[in-house]
Amino acid sequence: MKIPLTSLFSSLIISIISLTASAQNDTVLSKCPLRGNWYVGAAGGTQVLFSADADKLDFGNRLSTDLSLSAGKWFTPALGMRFNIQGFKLKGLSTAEGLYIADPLDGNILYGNEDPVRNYATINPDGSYRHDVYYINAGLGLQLSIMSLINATGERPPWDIIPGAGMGYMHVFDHEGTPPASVMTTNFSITGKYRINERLDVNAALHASFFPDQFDGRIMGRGYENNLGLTAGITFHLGRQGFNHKLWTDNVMPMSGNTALMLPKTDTIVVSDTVYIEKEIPVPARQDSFKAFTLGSVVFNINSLSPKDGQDLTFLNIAGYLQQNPGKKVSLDAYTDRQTGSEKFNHSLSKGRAAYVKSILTGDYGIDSSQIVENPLGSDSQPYQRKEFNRVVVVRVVGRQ
Amino acid sequence: MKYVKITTLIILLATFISGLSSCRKDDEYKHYDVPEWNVALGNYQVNMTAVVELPSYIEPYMTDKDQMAAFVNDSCRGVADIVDRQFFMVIKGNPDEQSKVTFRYYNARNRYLYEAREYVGFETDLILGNTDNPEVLPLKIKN
Repeated sequence: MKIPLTSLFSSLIISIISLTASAQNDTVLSKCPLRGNWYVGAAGGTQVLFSADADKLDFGNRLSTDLSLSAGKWFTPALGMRFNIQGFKLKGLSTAEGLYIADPLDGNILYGNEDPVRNYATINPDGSYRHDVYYINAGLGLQLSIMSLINATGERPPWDIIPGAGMGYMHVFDHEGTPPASVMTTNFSITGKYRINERLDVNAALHASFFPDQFDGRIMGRGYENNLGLTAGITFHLGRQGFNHKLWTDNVMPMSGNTALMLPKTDTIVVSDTVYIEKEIPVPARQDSFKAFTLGSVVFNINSLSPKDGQDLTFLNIAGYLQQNPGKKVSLDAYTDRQTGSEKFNHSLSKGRAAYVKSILTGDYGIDSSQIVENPLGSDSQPYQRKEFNRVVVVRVVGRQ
Repeated sequence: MKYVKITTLIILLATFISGLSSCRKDDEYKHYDVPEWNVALGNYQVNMTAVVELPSYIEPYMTDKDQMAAFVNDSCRGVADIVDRQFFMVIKGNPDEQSKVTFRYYNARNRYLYEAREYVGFETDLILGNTDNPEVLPLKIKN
């Protein structure tokens, strides 16, 4: 029986999108920064071919090496896209029956029963012979984070079950009589992962690909064949992780900043007296009594340009303030510790730190760059006594634009 | 949780090992040199004939150098000629002989020696199979 794979795939995609959309109603994500939530991965394991002939082999004799490289991005906590290159070798079996595309009889419309693989393989007394099929399958697909759907926290869950589906393109290499061939594939996978740290996951994946019967040069009349693989691997996450970038909820307002903003901005106040005589009372022009204050600090590891993990809340508050006060400007006072590095190096390092913080505020949070002033100070001055505290960018509100 | 981690680690390691150690190991079968089958024509007075074809799973590997012969015990009674991928044999015997005739087939390409799973009782002037409907012998490899 032929499974309508195209219909199955379309239904799955629609279901995934519907599920994800409904889940997002409850999440707190606000945006998907382009450079955030990327990952790369590598895995290896074993796979087995399911075909009319290979099914006659003992299961142990069908196991073969399975390798894969992948890269992807999560667009929402629950929905991502993955590009995967998988393959290496499948172990097949052939009998004297079948048609072989390497034996064209009439303009490649008809095929004969001469298989070139027989010239390389050991023929068994029953006429069957084993052969290896080397291939690569490049696929693009969608993936769904089940735990993110359930929890909807916007953060990468510590463990997860991730089903995926997509389409691919398989190329079989010319090897010992097996003719080169390229076919379309439909790919399915389910991955279980466990988070080791902020950047690294280990995972185990079960995947299957469906491809036309003639992928290995043999036409047995089955319509399609498939493989099934089990791999283990690691995933390394790149860029900023998580989606908890909504600046505030309905119950938690951002800091309002300088209360002076609440004062009337007119230079005169009109009042009424008891005899209903209107008088204008002159009010001296108000001096801008603004005083710079520290909004937050972003700390760094030694000799590092990127902030330490776990400072999302700091960025959240800074960005919240600037969005609520578009007329305000902050200074990024960037320091390094004085105990390590030359003066010149430290100045360069502090410059990089200020630039990095600015890029996060503008890139991930959409803050107008005119609201931010970079102020690299190197190790000329030390705002704190403890040296590790001085690997810092102090964000100060310095006034209006 | 620790138990789950250890179990998972073992499964993953087994997966790696089984995948990476999966080199193909073909079965080994005994190979034979080209046989020299001859009939001692002077010892026999009567004949029977057979037209034989190979089963479909072996036929693609047939070459002109293949051989087929009929035997009574280990005594060769007939050697086949190949015509249009069919084996024609005149099988020698004696009048009133009641012996079991078996067939052996040598595949030159793979250097395998096969024996027929079944036998035929010798009968003078018996015709076993014909060109339109040759006898298909069920064969098994001789080890």
